[in-house]
Amino acid sequence: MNELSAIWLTAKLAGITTAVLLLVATPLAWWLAHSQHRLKPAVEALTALPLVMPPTVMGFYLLLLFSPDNVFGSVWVNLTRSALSFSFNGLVIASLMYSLPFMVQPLTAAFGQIGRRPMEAAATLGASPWNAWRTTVLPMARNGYLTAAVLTFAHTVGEFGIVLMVGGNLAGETRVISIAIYESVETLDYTQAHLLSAGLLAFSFSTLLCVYYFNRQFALSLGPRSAS
Amino acid sequence: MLSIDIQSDQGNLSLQIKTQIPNAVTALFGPSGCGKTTLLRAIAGLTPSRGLLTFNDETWQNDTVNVPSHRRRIGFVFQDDRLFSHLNVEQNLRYGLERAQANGVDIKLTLPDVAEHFDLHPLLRRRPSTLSGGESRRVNIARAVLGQPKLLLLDEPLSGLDNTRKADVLPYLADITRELQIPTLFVSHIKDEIAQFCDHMIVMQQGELVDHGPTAEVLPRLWREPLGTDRSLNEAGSLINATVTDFDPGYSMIHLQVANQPLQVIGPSMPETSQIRLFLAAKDVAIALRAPTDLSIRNTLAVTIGRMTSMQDEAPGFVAVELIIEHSSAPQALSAHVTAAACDALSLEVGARVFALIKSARISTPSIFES
Repeated sequence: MNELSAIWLTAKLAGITTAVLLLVATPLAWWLAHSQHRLKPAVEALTALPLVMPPTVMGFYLLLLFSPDNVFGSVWVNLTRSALSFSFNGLVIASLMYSLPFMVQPLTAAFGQIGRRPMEAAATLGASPWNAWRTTVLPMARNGYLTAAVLTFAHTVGEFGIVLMVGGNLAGETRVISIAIYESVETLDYTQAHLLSAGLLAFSFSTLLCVYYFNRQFALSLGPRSAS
Repeated sequence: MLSIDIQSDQGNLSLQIKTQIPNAVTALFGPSGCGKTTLLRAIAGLTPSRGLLTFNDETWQNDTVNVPSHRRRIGFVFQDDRLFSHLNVEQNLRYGLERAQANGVDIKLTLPDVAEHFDLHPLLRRRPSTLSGGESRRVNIARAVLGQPKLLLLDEPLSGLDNTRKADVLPYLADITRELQIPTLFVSHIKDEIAQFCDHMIVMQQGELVDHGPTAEVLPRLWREPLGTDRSLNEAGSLINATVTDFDPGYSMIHLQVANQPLQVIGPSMPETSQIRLFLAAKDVAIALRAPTDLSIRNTLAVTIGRMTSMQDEAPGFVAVELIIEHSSAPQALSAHVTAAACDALSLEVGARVFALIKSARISTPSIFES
């Protein structure tokens, strides 16, 4: 049962993180793809930070942020009557930050490639900005969204360091697959470690296979136009 | 009437235009990089500008108002292909049409009609990525027209079309803009296209307006102030109205009538009695005292010399001669550039009745029919 609860918890965490990031990262990626603002490099660097920082560093700072001694932590405790550290909610917030670049970067690339031209054409055909975006950019960025969502989900499934720092190891609350594997090895339960590790390996490989397969399809459908 | 009084700084270009454009087909003419596209984009609200823009009784832009592009009810054909790659041709064509319908606009142009005129029926199910350059131009133009625009902005819409397609698309475009009275701004640097299609023209250079007025007045005087270094832009010439009387398929020859005098040009078949306008370059018009025979030049018009101007500044040794076409109900004039020496040898003088020889090869291919 322990494994099933860890798998379910992992899927729930990855699902929520992916869904929230789809909404949050879309405007951010659009801005990054098109803005000329002088603060853009700073925002780009900040967004990419989780790619290069050790998860333990982020986890450490998040723990400090979640602490009830802190403004953010105390406001949260007052609002929800529960603490963020060593809780599922804290894990979600940590995952959102940790997986942000995996959502933002494919979307920024997709938006940059599409450019403003379809939006301009749509505007001259009477479409309001939101309508133009929804009917041109969104469908054109379909594969960018697919790649971003799959990478974000898979990456959240695979996180370890930050979960250990922020969430600890509470069954049904914060014990995701990677933590369960760690614990199995610690307790010399190699059978369970094998089971979970092989499952995670197969999952990661098949999701990446999906991404590359769809991207190939995408490239084909955008192939060179026939000569006139 | 489109009233423009705008400024816009875009990199190297400083656009500063103040003019009024009548509700007609107006050409925007000038060397490349002079700001034609920027002006068109500013009118559409796609490129920011300062100043005033009013279209008929609607204020599009002033100090406090800036109507967004999608509420200006314009049609825009961009220089590059802007079809939506995720939609097929028919869905692209419906894009503007459906939004016009949703806004309660009276639909004057229907999809079957426009598809028919642009010969798009075989393409309706195709994806834009499978279209040839010419095909996608036609879909771009048809899509803009189907949006039921009040003002049509065309940025070199015929570039990339082959000769026969140009000859198909241009008259139809001219017809619908005139019939439905859609004012049209048309960027072009091909004089024959402008002569055929545009009633009015605006000449721009380095972001500023240098001339404007009816095409018949502006086009012939263009050479007086050289525009850039492109010689074809500065070519002197005149505009002639002609009526089609016959077509000889054996020689691909269109028989025309200019003020009751015959004229023959090579070109595609055109219906009888259709009116066309030709641009005749001044250097291709020669003068003879008697109607010549045994000459490869087939086109001879009886004319009277109206004016002779020495071209000391522009082309030393040449004289610009204005030749008034005889038997013309509305006055029509040809311009010819001949050497001063020839003028003296033939004793040419104002009021003399002479013959204008027009090199058949040259006028027979108004470049609307060329690439």
